[in-house]
Amino acid sequence: MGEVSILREASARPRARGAPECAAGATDAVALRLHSKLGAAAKSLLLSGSHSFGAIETLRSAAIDDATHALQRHEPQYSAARTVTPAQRTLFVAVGLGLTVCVAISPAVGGLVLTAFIAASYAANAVFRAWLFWVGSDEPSTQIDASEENASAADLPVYTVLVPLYREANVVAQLAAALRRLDYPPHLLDVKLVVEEDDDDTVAAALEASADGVFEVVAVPAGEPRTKPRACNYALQLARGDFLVIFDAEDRPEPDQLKKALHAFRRAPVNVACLQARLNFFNARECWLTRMFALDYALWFDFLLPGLDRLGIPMPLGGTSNHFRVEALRAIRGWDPFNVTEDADLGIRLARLGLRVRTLDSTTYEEATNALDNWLRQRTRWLKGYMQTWLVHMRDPRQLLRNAGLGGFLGFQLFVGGTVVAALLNPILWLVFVLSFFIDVPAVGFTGATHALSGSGLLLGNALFAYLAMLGPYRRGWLDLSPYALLVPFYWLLISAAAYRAAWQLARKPWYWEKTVHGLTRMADGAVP
Amino acid sequence: MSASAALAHWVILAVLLSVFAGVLYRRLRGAEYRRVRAAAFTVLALAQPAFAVPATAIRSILVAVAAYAIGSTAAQFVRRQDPRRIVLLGGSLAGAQLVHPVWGTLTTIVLPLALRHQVTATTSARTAGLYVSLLFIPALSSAALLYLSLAQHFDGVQWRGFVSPGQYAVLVAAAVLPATPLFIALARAPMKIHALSLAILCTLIVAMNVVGSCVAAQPLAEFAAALGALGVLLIAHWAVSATRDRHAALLMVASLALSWTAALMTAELAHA
Repeated sequence: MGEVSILREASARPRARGAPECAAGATDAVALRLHSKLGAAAKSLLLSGSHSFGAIETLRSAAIDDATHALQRHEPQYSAARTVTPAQRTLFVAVGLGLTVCVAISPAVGGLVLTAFIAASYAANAVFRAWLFWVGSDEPSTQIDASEENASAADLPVYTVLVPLYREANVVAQLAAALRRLDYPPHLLDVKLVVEEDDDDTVAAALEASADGVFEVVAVPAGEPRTKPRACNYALQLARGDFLVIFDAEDRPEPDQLKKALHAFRRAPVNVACLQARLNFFNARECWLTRMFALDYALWFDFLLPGLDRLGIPMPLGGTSNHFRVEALRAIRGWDPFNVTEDADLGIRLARLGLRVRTLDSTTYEEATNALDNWLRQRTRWLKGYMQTWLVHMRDPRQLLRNAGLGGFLGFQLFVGGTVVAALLNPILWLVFVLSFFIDVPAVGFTGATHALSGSGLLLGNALFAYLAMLGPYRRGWLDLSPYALLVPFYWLLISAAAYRAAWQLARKPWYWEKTVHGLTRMADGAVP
Repeated sequence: MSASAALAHWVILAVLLSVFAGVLYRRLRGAEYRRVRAAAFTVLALAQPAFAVPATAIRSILVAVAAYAIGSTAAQFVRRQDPRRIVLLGGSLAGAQLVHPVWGTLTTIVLPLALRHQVTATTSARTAGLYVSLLFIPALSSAALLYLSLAQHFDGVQWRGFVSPGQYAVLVAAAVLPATPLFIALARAPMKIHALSLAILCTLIVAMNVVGSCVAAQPLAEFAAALGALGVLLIAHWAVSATRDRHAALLMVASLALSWTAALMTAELAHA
């Protein structure tokens, strides 16, 4: 049994708070020797909740250090531990100064050019999404038929399921029920509930849920940054499966998702390292916010990501229900613990390393947040993560161009960068449009032309965004949500608020993981449409 | 019109006709008509009097293209309501408004309503969603046209005068005449979706022709030209049979002959 295996067993039972610290003088070698000599007895000793060996602590320290710093240490160019490089900072300052000087010298011309640029960027993002939608809407179905499924059932591999949990004791029972519904032989499932060791309530709930031994509880040593990717990296070292999937605490995956993913992996070329399942919400119709969120997700996962897939453009992964080949995931050193959308970053990193991400025709239903403050926190984190991801991968644009090709490079700018830029520009365009309607003073840059330009950009952009959102629910037949897409311009203002909050947070607390509270829905569990 | 303007006009006309002919030919070949017959039917569909009159040719082609696009996308849409078909039908309806605001708007209102029983949404909320997404682009197009006509004085329809009651009867008869073979063929066809869509489009085109020629002194052949394209769409939907080609030829020839007859018998009135 190797170090990781001992660590695996040791981590299965978190050390109780206040338990005795490491036994003095114990080493990795001693622990390993103990185990090899004594076998099960050593295992029992090692797993004892009231004792803690220095060797195990050493192993855990090494593992958590690896989970936190491996990427930063070995491939710093991909780590968001540093937010902005000196070269990027210089470039941003230069562009900002240049624009200010241009507008100051000639407000009318400068204002017009700037407005034209902003309107064009906004509209370009909308047009690009429309194109992705069109391409994605032609996606052939990847449903597998039962005969193929049965044929492959004989040689199913071990499948690891990672579920990172933090302050989510209230949803563990529902999570356990959803995981038990997975259509996969239990003895081949390696389900790990990944908890923070000092999160007592969640640890207790996870241990209770795993009392029958179906799930394994992995306690992640406390430390910074306290992020989901850090916990996942730690648990990845303990994964026994050939394939691995990440689920969130509130997830309700379709029961056959693992088999579908496995089948898709087997049919796909070996460079397909990851499959992204579709996401949507079981409480989509709970309130206005959840409806808008569901429209957003339907468009994103049912059309835009399949569009990226078909075009071979790097695909930012979407948080949960990402299925991986474990070997590939380990080879690229897992997730970036300093990136708050580690999933999006990972998708881009996979593409840069010549690996592909495909979409999987299976849905995981999640809980859409029904409270505005909770939504704002979640969206802030996502947009901050997109900012981090863009900054990380644009440290060396030429290298990105070489890795991803021209189409991939432009797609990355428009899809990852464009998402942030469109959210930031939206209120500026509204402001210019409204102000230039009332004020026609070239001296401050507001003219009829700026009004027309900003109006055209807004009209084209918002009309396209609304129309795409309207068509988003078609694939799952949720047409009753379509009329709500007329309210997309208001929803976009909320997204813009989150974007500015994200920019502020990026400057002050780049790795801070704003927690989204789950379990707030009043809709019955499992009320999947 | 200067020589260069006239040349540009004819070049545009030739390009539009060639592209549209290619579309019709491809559609007929897709329906398993042999090359020569597909080409012949295409020629019959496009040998319309309106295309020979410089003043009306380009707009007539655009009307014919719009009618063909709406008919084609409407049939696809009713067969299955997926996002691409919704975008295509919505876009076709919006395009029709740009070509002719009154006809386009009428079609936008009438066609989706007439097809409501063919739409497969299960609840009223879902049906509402379907209509909202279908009519979104045409509604935006209407709003844009309204804005252009109010703020920029853009006028899509030229109202030029009225005709006398005697002439009115002749014009109504002449407007209905070219559509008669199509209506007979549609009446004999099983009432499938595409037939319903085409029947609605033909009716609207005839109505526009009547109103246009009687109220706005618009050349009668202008709208009738679209009937040839709709004829191609109709025969392309016919199932392959021993008599199909013969019936198709009969329909296309009769429609064209009546179109020319109507144009000639009202030529004097139209110029009045």
